Amino acid sequence: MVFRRGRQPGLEADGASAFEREALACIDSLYGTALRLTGNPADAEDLVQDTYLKAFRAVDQFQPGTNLKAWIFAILHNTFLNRRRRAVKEPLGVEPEEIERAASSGFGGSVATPEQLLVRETLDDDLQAALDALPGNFRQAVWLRDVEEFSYAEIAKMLDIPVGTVMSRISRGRRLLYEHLTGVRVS
Amino acid sequence: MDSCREAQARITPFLDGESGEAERRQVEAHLQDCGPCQADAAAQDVARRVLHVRSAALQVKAPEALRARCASLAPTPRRAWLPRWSGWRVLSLGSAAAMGVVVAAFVFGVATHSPVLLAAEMTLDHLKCFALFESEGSTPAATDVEAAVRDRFGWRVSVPAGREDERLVLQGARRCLSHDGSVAHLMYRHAGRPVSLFVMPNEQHRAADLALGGYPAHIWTRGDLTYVLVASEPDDRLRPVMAYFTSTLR
Repeated sequence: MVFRRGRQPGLEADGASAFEREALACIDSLYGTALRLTGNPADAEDLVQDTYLKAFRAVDQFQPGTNLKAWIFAILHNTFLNRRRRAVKEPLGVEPEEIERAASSGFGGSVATPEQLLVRETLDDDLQAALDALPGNFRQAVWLRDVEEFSYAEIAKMLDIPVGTVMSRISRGRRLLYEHLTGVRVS
Repeated sequence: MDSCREAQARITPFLDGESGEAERRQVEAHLQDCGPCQADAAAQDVARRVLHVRSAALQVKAPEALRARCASLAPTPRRAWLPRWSGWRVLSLGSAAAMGVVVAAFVFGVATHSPVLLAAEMTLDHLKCFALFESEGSTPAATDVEAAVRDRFGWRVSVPAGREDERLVLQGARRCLSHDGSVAHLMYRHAGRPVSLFVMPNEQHRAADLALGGYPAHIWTRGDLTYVLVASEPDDRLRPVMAYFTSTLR
């Protein structure tokens, strides 16, 4: 899909609307991600609304031909970080005890195979709990990759971190998730 | 690749299909010989696949109210088919004419659902839209306008393309805010003069041929649609346009 910028002569009949339409089509994903970042619906709604406001204002900065969803997710993350910096003094780091907690809060000793996991009736709730238990940075990276299906490069750009960091967060996040779901220590 | 440390860093891109061919072979070779790394890769892969398989269940729907608020943040569309806001330049002229229409409506002695009231309402909208919005000069394709109306308002309205030989040119479409916002306003120019065709779904009105404040207005019904045609040109000039619309919109 080609987006044109500004009001050029011969602007396609669908030029501006295609952008809006495609941006608004991301709203469920944005809201789901915002919910995970903020932890509550009211803040998530605020964050999504702010994101759209900025996206529509910055439409001229969008590079036609690049991934619009990744672009708008980057705005979401930046907006979230800016708010967080303003609101909280403590840095967005990963505490060692947090990792410990995420790993140990699983199912004491009950070993599960992938097949058993997938037929487990409570899988969705368990998965939700396991995701919630992950340290924020790991959860974010795993979510963007495995649920929203962004590439490493897109995630790196969106979070403004090196690709290597994206990879290590994803791998650590996945290990912790597995440990939480199965109760089996990997590392 | 001998060290597990080296391999571990490459397992994740390997699973995600983000490693190069040479690297992929190296990781494969290492995994064949190394139990612990195999277990690590398997664990990561299970997490990855479980998330992938269950991603639909993990995702949530944005609340409708939020969706509506965000959609309303979109800037005034600048599509060629959708006439652009052009300020108050011509409004005074439009207002004067509009006042005439309102007065005319009262003089006729209107009742609810009367064709005169409907014609007055649509004539006001005709004047307002042509006074406030100006087309960008390019002529949109009727199919684009149809698609845009469908996508934006959810209405399936068939849009007559206009006639070159009659110099009837489609300008665009708007959602008419009067009449509870349930009217599609198709804007044309006939030999340069504004012509509006309003389409109202699920409404039955009596057919009528009127002129309010000097603007001819024609109302007719086809199926469950009512059409109102209003123009800024004398009625005798408008007649062939009306004939074209009634024959096209069957």
